[in-house]
Amino acid sequence: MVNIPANVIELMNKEGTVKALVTSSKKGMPHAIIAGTIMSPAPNTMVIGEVLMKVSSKNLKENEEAAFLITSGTEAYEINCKVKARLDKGPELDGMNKVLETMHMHAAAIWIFTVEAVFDQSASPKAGTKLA
Amino acid sequence: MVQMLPIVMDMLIRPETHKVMSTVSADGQPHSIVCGSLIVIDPETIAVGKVNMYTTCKNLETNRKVEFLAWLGREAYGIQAEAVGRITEGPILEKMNQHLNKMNMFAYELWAFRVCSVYDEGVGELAGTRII
Repeated sequence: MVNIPANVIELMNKEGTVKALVTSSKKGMPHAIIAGTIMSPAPNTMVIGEVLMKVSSKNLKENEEAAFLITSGTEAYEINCKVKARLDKGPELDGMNKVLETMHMHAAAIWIFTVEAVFDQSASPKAGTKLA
Repeated sequence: MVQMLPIVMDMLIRPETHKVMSTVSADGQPHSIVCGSLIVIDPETIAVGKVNMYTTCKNLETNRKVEFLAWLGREAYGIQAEAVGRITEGPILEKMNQHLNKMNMFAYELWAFRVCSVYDEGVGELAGTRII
């Protein structure tokens, strides 16, 4: 387990930053989704609310490896993660659904991930550099 | 093999559209990159300029399945495709490098992908629906 660098978390929390979850089926077919519910409650943890996410959820049950892509302009980072838990009840889910309610959305569960590695993916010669 | 609808190709070629390309490593780790060097060769074929793309190319050597996610606002399409080869010379590579030159980038080659299926990935109940 590693910690996400502070500048990556800062970019993640910035308005306008694009955040994607990438999963893979057990047959190796990748699948990416854009989600506003992606966040990092602690530097070694990523979470996402399960809003729709039918294919992603199926993939995560088959293959616990996942990645989050965080990008704004030419700056981009990839956070490699592994599934820790899926919570379909409890205060964490209630808290997320209070926020989602204002956007007329509802999460059936929260997926929690441990962070395994962080890479710079910016459009620059640094692309591919492991940061953590 | 399938043919992309004009609305999907338009989403792919518009410069303001966000585009992400995802691959999976041999051991199941998904990987995504922001994809600025993408062109549509014909309704069945997409090409991407090899600019950096170290992990992506390594993944493609062992697993040829890819997914392109293109979106703008609430509209999004997921295009599943398969790598069919590299283009190392000719007018398509020259056209790509004319485009990349404006961003001070250069591609030595292109990866060509054959489209296998297309999904609606927009925000809404249709998310995940196969359209081709």
